[in-house]
Amino acid sequence: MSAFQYFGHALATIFTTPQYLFFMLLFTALGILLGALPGINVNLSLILVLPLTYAMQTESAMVVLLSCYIGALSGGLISAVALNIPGTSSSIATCFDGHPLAKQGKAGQAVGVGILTSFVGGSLSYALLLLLAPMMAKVALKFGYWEYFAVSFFSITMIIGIAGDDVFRGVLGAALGMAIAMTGSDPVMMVNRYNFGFHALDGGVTLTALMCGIFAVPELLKLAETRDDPDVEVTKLEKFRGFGISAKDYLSRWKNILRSTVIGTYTGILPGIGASSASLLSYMTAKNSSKHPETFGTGDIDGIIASETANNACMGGAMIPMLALGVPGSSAAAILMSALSLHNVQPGPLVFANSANLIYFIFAICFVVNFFMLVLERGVLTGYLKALTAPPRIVMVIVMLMCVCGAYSSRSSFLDLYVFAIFGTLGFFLQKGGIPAGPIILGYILSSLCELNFVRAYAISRGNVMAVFHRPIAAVFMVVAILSLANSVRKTIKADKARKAAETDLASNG
Amino acid sequence: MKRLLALILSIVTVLSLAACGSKTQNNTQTGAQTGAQTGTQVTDPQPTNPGPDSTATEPKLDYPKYAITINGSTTGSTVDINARSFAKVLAKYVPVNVVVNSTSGQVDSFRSTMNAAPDGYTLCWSTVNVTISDVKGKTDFDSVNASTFIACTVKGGGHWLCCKSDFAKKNNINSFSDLIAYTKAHPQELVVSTSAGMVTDVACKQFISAGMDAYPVSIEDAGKRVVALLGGDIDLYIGGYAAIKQYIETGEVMCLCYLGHERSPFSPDIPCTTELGYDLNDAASIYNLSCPKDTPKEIVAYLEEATRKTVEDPEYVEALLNNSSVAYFAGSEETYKIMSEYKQLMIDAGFGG
Repeated sequence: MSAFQYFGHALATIFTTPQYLFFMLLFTALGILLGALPGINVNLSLILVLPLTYAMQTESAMVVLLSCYIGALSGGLISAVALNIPGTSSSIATCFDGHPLAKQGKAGQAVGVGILTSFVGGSLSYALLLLLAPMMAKVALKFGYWEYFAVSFFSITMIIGIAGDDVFRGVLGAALGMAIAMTGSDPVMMVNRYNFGFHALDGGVTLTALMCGIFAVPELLKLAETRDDPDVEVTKLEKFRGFGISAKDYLSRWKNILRSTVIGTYTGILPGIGASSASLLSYMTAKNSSKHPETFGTGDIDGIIASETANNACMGGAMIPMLALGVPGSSAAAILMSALSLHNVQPGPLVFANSANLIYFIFAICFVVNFFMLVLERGVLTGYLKALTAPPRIVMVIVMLMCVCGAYSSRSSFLDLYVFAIFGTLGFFLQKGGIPAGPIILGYILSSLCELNFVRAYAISRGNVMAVFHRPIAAVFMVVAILSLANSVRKTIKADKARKAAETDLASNG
Repeated sequence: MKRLLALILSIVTVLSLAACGSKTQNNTQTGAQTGAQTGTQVTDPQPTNPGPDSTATEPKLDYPKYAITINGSTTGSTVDINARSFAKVLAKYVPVNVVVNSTSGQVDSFRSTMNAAPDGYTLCWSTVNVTISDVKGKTDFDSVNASTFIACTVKGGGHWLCCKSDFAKKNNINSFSDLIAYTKAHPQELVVSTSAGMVTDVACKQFISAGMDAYPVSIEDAGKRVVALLGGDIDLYIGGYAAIKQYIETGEVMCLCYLGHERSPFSPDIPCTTELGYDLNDAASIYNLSCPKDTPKEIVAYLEEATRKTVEDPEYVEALLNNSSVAYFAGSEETYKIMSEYKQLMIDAGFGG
């Protein structure tokens, strides 16, 4: 049978088996709910449902897991927009424009656009997966450790672009995130660093605890700070229809959509890079390509489109190395792979020959669940947003509870609760000092990738750092990263000079 | 709004109850909670839903009453997958749920379990990698004496040495001996994968001690080692068979030898190092289940018996075979002996940090 025949057969099986449709409905809804809760990320959502699949047949297990995965991946945008707390690390970039829109009363529009563009990005990525999976797997093999280092270094330089007006403070935040990432065993030689003699810190600081703390605690403390301020009002929710954007307006942004899909899919193909890097890269590329880059960070719809399209497209990309090479493209894909192993399916180059029915069934699940996600998430959106307009003193308490549970559950360690509290409080004071949370978390995520790949590449090259420029793909990324860094520094110096000149003029005229 | 809030809170409550629920116990208990301290006779663990003819006539240990947690390793890792395979089958032989906890690593799991209450509800699933970390001085505990071993469940698996077929063809390498000769002619030119602090590192050092003059680079995951080999970042792969077997079947990768005293049942055509004339330690993977040090002997005995039934279960055996591992049962005392000997072997071989 050809690929399309397998795919058609799989679709027919899904639509004629009520059990599969019921599982899709139930677990997509569950995934959206879990993803929208701060502290419960995609990985935890999958781990929660994984034991349910033990007694199921392989096909049903895949329906359950993929439904939960796609739902949770998309659900993260709801809390990112409404609460400025990303539900998953891949929704960090969504906070930059989503929450400012929510403050303007347009939370519904922001989430609606995010849902629509998640669907589109996912669908396009799954189409590429269906058509080109074995060929695209070869792309993953073209990327060695120097290439991975170059991509992650390039991503780090992008952090400057999201630092806002004060680049220095943004860079400081990223540096702090990088320092936090170095706690614990180093990723290659397992040497303990910065644990201050506490072996409980050998495993380092987990992303979930850090992210929940840095994003959620400052929001709570800000609320406490302003509780007696009569000028602070609860933002009213504006009404919206459909997905908050007309078809014409959405399609007019086709370049951003296609570009973000490509960035997300190809980033997903590279094992270990991750959806958070994909959404950041896509966001920054959209900003740099925009005619009005100054509007990014203030509630620009294109920022949400770039971030959410890429992070959902990344999911399709991550399936490619998982299925075709037997190497998971993300930690969530690792869980899916472990589920396949538990059902005695071995991904790898022979999987298309040995298990073609199952593989195309997986592709078909992705398409159908993506549609369920679109409908369900839009269906619950109005109610969910209304719930979030409840008095903040109630909402934030529930959010804190979720964050504490999420922080603890990542590795069942009380240390993570201390991390949550300490870094949360620190985050509050850092934000007071003008250092935003985004660069800290992105510095944490990207520096781990950067260090791991640099140390390996350095070892393989026997200490020859210039070897990075001997490899075409790595060289291109390094040159672009260096130029981007130089350009950012130049712009900062120019803006600083212009500001000082304006202040001098004002002083002399005044 | 109030109704919605009430509905949400109700759902959260129901989900919490479901998460904390345990299977209904069919056995009756004696009037007093005799518990393990008074030496209550341990009964054989029964499958979850025993047949209508089974009756409980002997006094029962008051254990287990609620879910057992097994601390595994990082999500998606081979150890994690094996832990979940084990837990899935163990749940047939204990009347409660068995939950696998993901952690940041095996050492972290071991430490968490060591510090947990010795009540039999927190167990650790680990491998010799914890012992190797202990020998290298990277832990703050004695991996052999800091806990009580319940049983060993997997012994073997092992390590295969592979290279790309076109590389082998180009350099006329058809065997491990040819490879050694090549590396002697080109010292430190080839890059071989290892995994610092893990049993793969032990395997790598064994190959190097046989004369293979290659440059080791640490890559922790077998899947990533395969990608590194295929992508040309490394020249030689050392690792498990499951990750690479499909590439051997397609002919893209050539397997030179298996590190062991006899051929592996997973690759009967691949010669082992002993038959090739190299007297090397086999760097076997040993998976074991352990519990906190002061756990009552009756509970340890109960879990040991449940583990024995799990290891003999065809479902578990098949799951291991699919991961190129072999089920092997050793009881509590024997596992202690195996792990003690392994630790001493590592110290004698100079792996101390």
